[in-house]
Amino acid sequence: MMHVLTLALKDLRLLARDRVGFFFTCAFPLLYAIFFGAIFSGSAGDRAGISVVVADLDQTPESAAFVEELRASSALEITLAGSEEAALDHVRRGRQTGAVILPPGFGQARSNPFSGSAATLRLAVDPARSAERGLLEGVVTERLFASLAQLFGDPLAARDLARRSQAGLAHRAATDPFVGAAVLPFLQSLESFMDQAVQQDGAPDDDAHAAPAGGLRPFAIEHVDVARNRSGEPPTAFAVSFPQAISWALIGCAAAFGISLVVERTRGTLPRLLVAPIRVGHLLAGKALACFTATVAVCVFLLLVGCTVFGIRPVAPALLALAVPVAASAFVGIMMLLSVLGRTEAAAGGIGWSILLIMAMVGGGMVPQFIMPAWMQHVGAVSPVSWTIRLLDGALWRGTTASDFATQSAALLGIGLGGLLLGIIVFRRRIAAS
Amino acid sequence: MLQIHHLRRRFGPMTAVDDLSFAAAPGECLGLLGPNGAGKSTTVSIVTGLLPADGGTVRIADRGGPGDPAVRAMTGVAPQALAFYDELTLIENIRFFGRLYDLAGPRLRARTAEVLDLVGLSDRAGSRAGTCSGGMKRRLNLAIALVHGPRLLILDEPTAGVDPQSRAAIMDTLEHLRATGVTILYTTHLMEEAERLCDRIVVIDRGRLVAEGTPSDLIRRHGGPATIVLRRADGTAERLPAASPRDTLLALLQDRDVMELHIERPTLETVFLNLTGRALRDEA
Repeated sequence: MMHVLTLALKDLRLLARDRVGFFFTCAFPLLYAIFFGAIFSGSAGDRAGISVVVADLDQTPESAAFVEELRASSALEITLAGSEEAALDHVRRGRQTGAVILPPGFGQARSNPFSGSAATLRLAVDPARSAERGLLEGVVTERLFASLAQLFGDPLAARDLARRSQAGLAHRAATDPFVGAAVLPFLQSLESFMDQAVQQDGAPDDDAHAAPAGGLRPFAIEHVDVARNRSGEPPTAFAVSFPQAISWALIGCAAAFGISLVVERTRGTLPRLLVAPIRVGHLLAGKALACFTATVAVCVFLLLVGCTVFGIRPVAPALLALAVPVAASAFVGIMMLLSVLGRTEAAAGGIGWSILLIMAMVGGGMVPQFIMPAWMQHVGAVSPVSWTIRLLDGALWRGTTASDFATQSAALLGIGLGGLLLGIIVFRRRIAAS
Repeated sequence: MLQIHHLRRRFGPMTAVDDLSFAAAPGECLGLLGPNGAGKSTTVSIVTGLLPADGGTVRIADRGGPGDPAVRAMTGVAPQALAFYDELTLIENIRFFGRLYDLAGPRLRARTAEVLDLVGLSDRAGSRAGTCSGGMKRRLNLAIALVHGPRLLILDEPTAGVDPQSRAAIMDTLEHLRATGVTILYTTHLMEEAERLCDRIVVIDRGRLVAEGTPSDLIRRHGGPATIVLRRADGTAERLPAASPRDTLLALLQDRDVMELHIERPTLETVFLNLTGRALRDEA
């Protein structure tokens, strides 16, 4: 055992002094996690607009016109829902950031701002997304005010509005003193003012249409809190990028140690080791132990950074503690297999990295598998990287069942064992034949 | 200490070692000479256990073959390639290999210091091996082979590619080891080294033993006559084989035309060329 430890310590020391190897096993994965985590975290705010689902329950020309006004806003990306519940469900599932509900009567109230009933709409947003909520309310309010200002900017439309409003309120003059004493005289003055403007064939200036609107509250916004159901979604983009980064660390370790065995052979240290009073098994066990130790150490380092700096909170810490050595074991086997694929350093490096990069590409190491097409996800299932990320995702944020974890662990351990045995057999044969 | 009996090894159709037998007594320094492709490296690989033999036996210290861990523990090997880790320091390299031979603690530290001192590298103990000169690397290669105090030392061209100072230091070290009773199997292309260091020499060619004996024996038996080289007054030079140099010399001294003369005695290189019919490879 002392021989195995001696060999492993030597390999770890060599790795620590190999700047390129150290970069690819430790620094690169960390950079990857931070870079892609930051990109995915920041993407929501950089999109063309807030994604909003609109349920037009009023189904009037006025409500349809308002939907089109919202659609014209560059700050919003509008989709339509047939019912309020459907719209709220979109928000609940996280498909859209918020919902705008236009209830029955919205169009009528909006077209008659002096009718006494405000045009009411409902905004539904996850209370946790306060920034998006404020932005959405601002955009909707701006749209409502803009349509009102547009109305008063057209003297003919404003005069007709004043006339319609007087007709609509006339029957309340007797019962409501405020309507008889204040509102109706105001509407008569407004009608007279707009009539003069029409006759002068001139448009009122900004002050003229701004004044009538000032102080009016012709609409109301009701807020509906819709808590988003986050099960099955990563709490943060870093929860996605760190498992990917760990897969890169595993890849880096497998490549570095796989190539190191070839380097031992080509640079002559392997014969010197083989003439020492140790067994070939000691030699390979030392290499495997070093690879395993380095892999676990880098994984732990990345997870510590992820948890302490980037706020990842593992949903199953105990499973995570098991997942790391399981994944490391798989890549130790892959390392052993890679070490016998090439006879020269360049060949081993080229073949090894080619295989590992393809594994990463189809297995979700480069882009998350859940954004890949379904067929590509099926293809990726053959990659140990995919199994590793699924195992880590399950323990970190996705949640997992005991049977899923056991299946994924068994697959990885099987890959590791297969690679280890195949690598050892080929290595021993090569030594015997050389 | 080392007995090789009827050793055979083939690589496909090529016979690398063909019924080779020789032995080295305890404390003896045995030189293994031969041209490129003669089978020296294959023989060394079989003796060190890196290659299995197709036939024949290798016994070391009357214990067993090189596959026996106890035999390996008493054998030191300095391969022709510089077999250590450039990224480790000299002391780390020596200690690492020492641990593989079950040295540890104060014993390991003491042996490391001893071998560093022996090869003259104590002042560079903390330097990375990769930063050392070629001569230092050769000496480190030797130091690693010595750290566990082997009784049999197998050296494959230990002075290849080194400067004269390092070569002299290595030769001094090896003479010291021979004096302390270490058995040495020494392969080299440098005849003067073999002549200086080796008690006996085995010459092999095409995998077979072609001559064996002490350097002086080999020269006497296979070196051929001495050569008298003379320069005449007109500037011409002549080389005259002389079975009896004394008589030839006396005759030449009567010749007034001869302005200058000297005797070239046969060397191991002459022996080698006479036995193998080919020149040695270029000196490293």
